[in-house]
Amino acid sequence: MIHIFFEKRLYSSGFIRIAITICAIIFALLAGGVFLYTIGVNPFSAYSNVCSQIFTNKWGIEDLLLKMSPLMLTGISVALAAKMRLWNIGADGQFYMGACAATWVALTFGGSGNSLMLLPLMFLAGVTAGALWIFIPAFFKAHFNVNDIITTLLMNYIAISLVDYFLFGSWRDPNSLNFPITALFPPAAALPMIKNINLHIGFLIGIFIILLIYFFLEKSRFGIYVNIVGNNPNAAQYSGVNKKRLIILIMMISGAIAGLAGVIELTGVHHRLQQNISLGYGYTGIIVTWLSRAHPLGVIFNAFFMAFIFVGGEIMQMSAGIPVAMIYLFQGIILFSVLGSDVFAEYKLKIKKTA
Amino acid sequence: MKVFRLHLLLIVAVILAFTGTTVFGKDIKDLKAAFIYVGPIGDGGWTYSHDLGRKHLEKLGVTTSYIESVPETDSIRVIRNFARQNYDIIFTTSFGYIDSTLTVASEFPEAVFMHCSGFKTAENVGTYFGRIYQAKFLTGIVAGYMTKSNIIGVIGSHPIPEIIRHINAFTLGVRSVNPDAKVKVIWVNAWFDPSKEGAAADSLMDDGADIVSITTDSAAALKAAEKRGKYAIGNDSDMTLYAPSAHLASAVLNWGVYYEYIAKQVAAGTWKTSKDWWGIESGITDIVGFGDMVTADIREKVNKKKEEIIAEKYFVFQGPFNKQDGSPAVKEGEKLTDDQIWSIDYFVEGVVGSLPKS
Repeated sequence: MIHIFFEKRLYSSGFIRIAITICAIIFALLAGGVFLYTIGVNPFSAYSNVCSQIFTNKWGIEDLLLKMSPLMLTGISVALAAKMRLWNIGADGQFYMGACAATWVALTFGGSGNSLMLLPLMFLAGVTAGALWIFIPAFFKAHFNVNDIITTLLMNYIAISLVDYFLFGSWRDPNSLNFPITALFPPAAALPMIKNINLHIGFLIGIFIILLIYFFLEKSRFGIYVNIVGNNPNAAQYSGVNKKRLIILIMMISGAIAGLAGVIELTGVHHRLQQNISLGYGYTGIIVTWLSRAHPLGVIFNAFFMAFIFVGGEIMQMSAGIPVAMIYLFQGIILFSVLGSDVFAEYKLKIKKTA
Repeated sequence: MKVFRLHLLLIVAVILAFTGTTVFGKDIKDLKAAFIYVGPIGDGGWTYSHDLGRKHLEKLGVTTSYIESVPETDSIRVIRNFARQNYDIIFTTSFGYIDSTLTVASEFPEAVFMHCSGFKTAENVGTYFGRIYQAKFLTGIVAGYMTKSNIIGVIGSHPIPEIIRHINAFTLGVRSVNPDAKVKVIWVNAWFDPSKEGAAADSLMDDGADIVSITTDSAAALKAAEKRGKYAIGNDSDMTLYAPSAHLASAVLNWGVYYEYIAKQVAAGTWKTSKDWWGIESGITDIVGFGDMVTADIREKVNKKKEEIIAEKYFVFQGPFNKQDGSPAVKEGEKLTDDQIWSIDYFVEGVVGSLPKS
């Protein structure tokens, strides 16, 4: 008899994790390649085409970084809460509320002469709205231990309905022929671009916020509290941390960052409010967090990875005529194998022969 | 002098010989055309109909490429990527691509951009659509004859003039043969969302509708009607296959004829921006796929009306008809102008449902 079983690793180093993740990606590319082969596409030329289009063209990289920008912010938003074992499934809703509040500022004060203050005011409004939107679930989590997964998730649908209410109502552009979009914002509401490349500075803001959170968690006294509460809530009780206040504070920072992501997409890409401006960035942020085990620097890498999957999928469609269903399948295989490979980081696969 | 002239002629002839291809335009086989779709090509409706048009161009030798399921909020990157790859014509096939098309077009003045169903043009941006409202009117006649409950359900996508126009034309068709019938509208606020479309169809049937018509892109509502033994009308493509025993008819768009026309113009270098709105006489739109339950008598009446529309003896939006609240919209002997039809923002009498107030 042959027995196959898992044995828990005594320790799991970062090196093992990275090696296993790379193996998982290679496995996914091979498995996806089989599917590509069955529809008559040479997988190797498809892959090399994606890489050459992204990495040898200036605009391929621009596209990737543009797509990566909101994912870094929603990723770090979810990751920060996850450090305290809190789940912010509501990053998408906070994203919408951030964009919504910033739109209110743009529509209300955009016409006035003071254009220098417009963009900062929009950012302030968006960040505040994101923080306030998560305050409701945060308050109930802290004081009554109401399940944060459910409450933050459900707040998303309210946020989307609220945005719809304004888009179908008083904010609708009279020149849009009834299409639910606002008028374009004045140029003063546009996020500045990075010099010489077609990319708004939201990308740099994303990197900056992640580094800020990293040092906050690693170096500050406050960050130590967060880690204590996250690792052992009971120990926190004895160390004199006000757990309730900490939960509310961390969740509000998390919400503020997701709101920031909304403002950046609004002012950097769309320049107007419309439906679906999030494209599920809040939910993809959860995947980014999960892939990076809530490590802030891992968020940068995995936001890049998710953006690569999106943009690469588009290139495959454009150049090889691969149907979009195949791209979804592909993305599924990659995520499945990367997340599934986790088990090999924690456990060893053992094969034993017994008589 | 004579010698000089001869030389001049020779020089001109040589120049023409070398540059002739650009002076007189290039062959249609050298064209590259890109298509951006809002849904999957397998939606069986709107995007499928555009993809049939794309395949028609492929048959003519045009190199084509496409991307499916591009959210309207993510379209600018995709359009730009096609433009960067030197496509000659870029067809953007959803209303919501309107501003992203114009933005990218201003960055790439060499390429031709064709935006379907929009109203904003530029020097290198044209708009186009088919007068599918004429076919919708004809499907309305079928529904008016076939309904027993006198309640017909319509699934609205977005409450924009395009869709209001189609619902109105359908309703005018219904009421032209059955003045007692009512057309109930439910909005799903999406172009392609099969689960919402199916659920909306169920609600309409719960509410008494025995025929469901759609302005959305998928055949989900037809399947829902088939399941409950009711009738349904297809949109954009022939949807017979999705609901063989429920399908009364479909109002369709045949983009191939139009795409061929545009490709030839771009190849010849004669293309100029315009707002094209071809009608049923061109073949761009039609009523097809009559189900067996639609009697020969009804078909004949529909075809007669179609001939009248083609001969310009009958206009879909001709008076007299009233607005939803009963106030007169168009008087006897008058008809709406193209501009009025294009930007129509009220329902006609017989429609039950509301439009968002602006």
